[in-house]
Amino acid sequence: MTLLIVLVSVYLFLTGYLGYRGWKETKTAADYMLAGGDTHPVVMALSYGATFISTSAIIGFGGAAAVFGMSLHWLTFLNIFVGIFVAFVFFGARTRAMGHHLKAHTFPELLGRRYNSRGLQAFAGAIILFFMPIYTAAVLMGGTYIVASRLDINYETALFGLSMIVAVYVIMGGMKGVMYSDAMQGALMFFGLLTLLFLTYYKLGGITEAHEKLSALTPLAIENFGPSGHQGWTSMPAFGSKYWWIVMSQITFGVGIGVLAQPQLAVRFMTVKSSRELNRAVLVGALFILVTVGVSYFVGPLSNVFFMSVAPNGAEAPIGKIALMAVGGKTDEVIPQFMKLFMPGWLGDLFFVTLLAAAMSTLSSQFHAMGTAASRDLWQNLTGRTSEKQAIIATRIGIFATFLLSVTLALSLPKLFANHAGEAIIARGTAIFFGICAASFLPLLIGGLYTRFITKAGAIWGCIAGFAVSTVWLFFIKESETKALKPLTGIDSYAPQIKAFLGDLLPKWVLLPEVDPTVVALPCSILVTVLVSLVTRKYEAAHLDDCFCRINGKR
Amino acid sequence: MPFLVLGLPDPWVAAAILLSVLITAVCVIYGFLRWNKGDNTPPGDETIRWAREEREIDEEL
Repeated sequence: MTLLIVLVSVYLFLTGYLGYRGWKETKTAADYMLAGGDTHPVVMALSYGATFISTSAIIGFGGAAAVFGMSLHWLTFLNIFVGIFVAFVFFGARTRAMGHHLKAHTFPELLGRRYNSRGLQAFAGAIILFFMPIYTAAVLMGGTYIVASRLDINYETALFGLSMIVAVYVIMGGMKGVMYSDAMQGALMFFGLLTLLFLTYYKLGGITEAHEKLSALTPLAIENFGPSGHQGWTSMPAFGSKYWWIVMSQITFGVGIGVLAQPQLAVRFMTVKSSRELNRAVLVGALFILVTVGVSYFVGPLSNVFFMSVAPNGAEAPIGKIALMAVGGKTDEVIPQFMKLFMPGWLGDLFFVTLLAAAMSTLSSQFHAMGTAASRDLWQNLTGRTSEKQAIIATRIGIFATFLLSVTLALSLPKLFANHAGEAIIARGTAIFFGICAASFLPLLIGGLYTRFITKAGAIWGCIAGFAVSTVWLFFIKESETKALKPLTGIDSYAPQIKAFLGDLLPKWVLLPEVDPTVVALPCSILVTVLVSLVTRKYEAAHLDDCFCRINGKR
Repeated sequence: MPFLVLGLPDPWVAAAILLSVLITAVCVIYGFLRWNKGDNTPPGDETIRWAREEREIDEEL
């Protein structure tokens, strides 16, 4: 406990000190651009990575990996390929150039100005304001589980305490995104998780030995989850099974592709000083994601070997149950309990601070996105009023309301899913938001940065179609969500009726109730955008020339 | 004889892990080769104006 207090104090002191330095020397990304000096690529990549990776990835997706197994590494691959390589190489410089020229400071503002539509900006702002709290709640829940487990307090008390820390952090200026604070948090996450990976494999006798021990548990995996398609923690789920659809459509596709259209990540490209910095950040960013995401998807499945055959700290006999059963069916508790029971106390303390850092860096960027959505994208955009005072009030109301909504969701979601053992609530919440963003914004973003083809009507209707199909599928067809929400809505999934309607047109391997909304909504959004653009009025050439002038090399 | 890489029996899982390492290597090589490439001219008027506005928004928050 003493070490924990010391580590937390050092962490809070450093965050406070770097924040203070940032305040005194104004070292936000914008200040770097104004000051004219170089941002160190490591600082830039770490601060981006810290925003990207949160407690949701480590606790939520790590816990999901304890259930689904190492097949989740397809998401590691997509996170690096799409989230770093494609994002930085193909989106970074264009987002930056267009954003600066159009004077856009938020993601909805970029879309709104590119498509010359205040309505589109307001709609995108509203999506962020109303749906990002699901993702914020997922990050909060991840942090809460680790606090509750490490300090041996109940979930509600831990959530209250963490929420207070977050509130103070936000009030004290945490949203300013001081680059050194973010980079420090990123560095902490990198080394904390690397240590966890090393110790996990070391305790199991090496990489190959550990994997062989996990493969030896395959009969147990099949016994517990076989009917859902599980084939062992070192194998893919059976093609077309329930688990295959969860892993491939929801976790891998939804989150892996959705990262490109994440509002709080896309705006990061605008705060980069030069395109050279983007090139440099690719190197550091990929290594960072490989370690932070990869570790969770190795440690999660391997926790089953520990729970089955390794004696916990201070005990003589192993628990003798697989991870999910050992933690009472709560997927999101696997990693916190694994840390508590099998890792040395000092690493548990270090991990606690690591996770605190992971939560803070992501939460600060989320509240930044929600605050600016309330003030710039909704209030100023819709009323046309530019008064600074009113904008500040709108920001405060927006942040306070979304904060309350996020905490309420973090409090109620575990209760709502209490009877759904094995439900990865944090991962699912994250995937829902990533999916909605992908379906609503991705075609517009790619089309807006790369083509002159999309019309105003095409952009608006594409965004509406993506959002509508996503939410309708989520609330009326996706079985796990409709089941959990039934006490509130009284609605059962319509998947059986749709299946009966489609009959033989629907291939047998398509498990409709488990198909992620993004799989359906993204193609719909692309189709509507293209079709409507084909038949509606094009933009004036002058507007398009203006939007693309920086990209085409004219400064 | 099952396909075994790092003790993993399923080639699809092994492929995901190897591809993750491979794409990281591609990113490292890309970043290394282009370390000093790309535009690094001082920020133009638009960028400076944008950064000033961004700082004001940060202050408002």
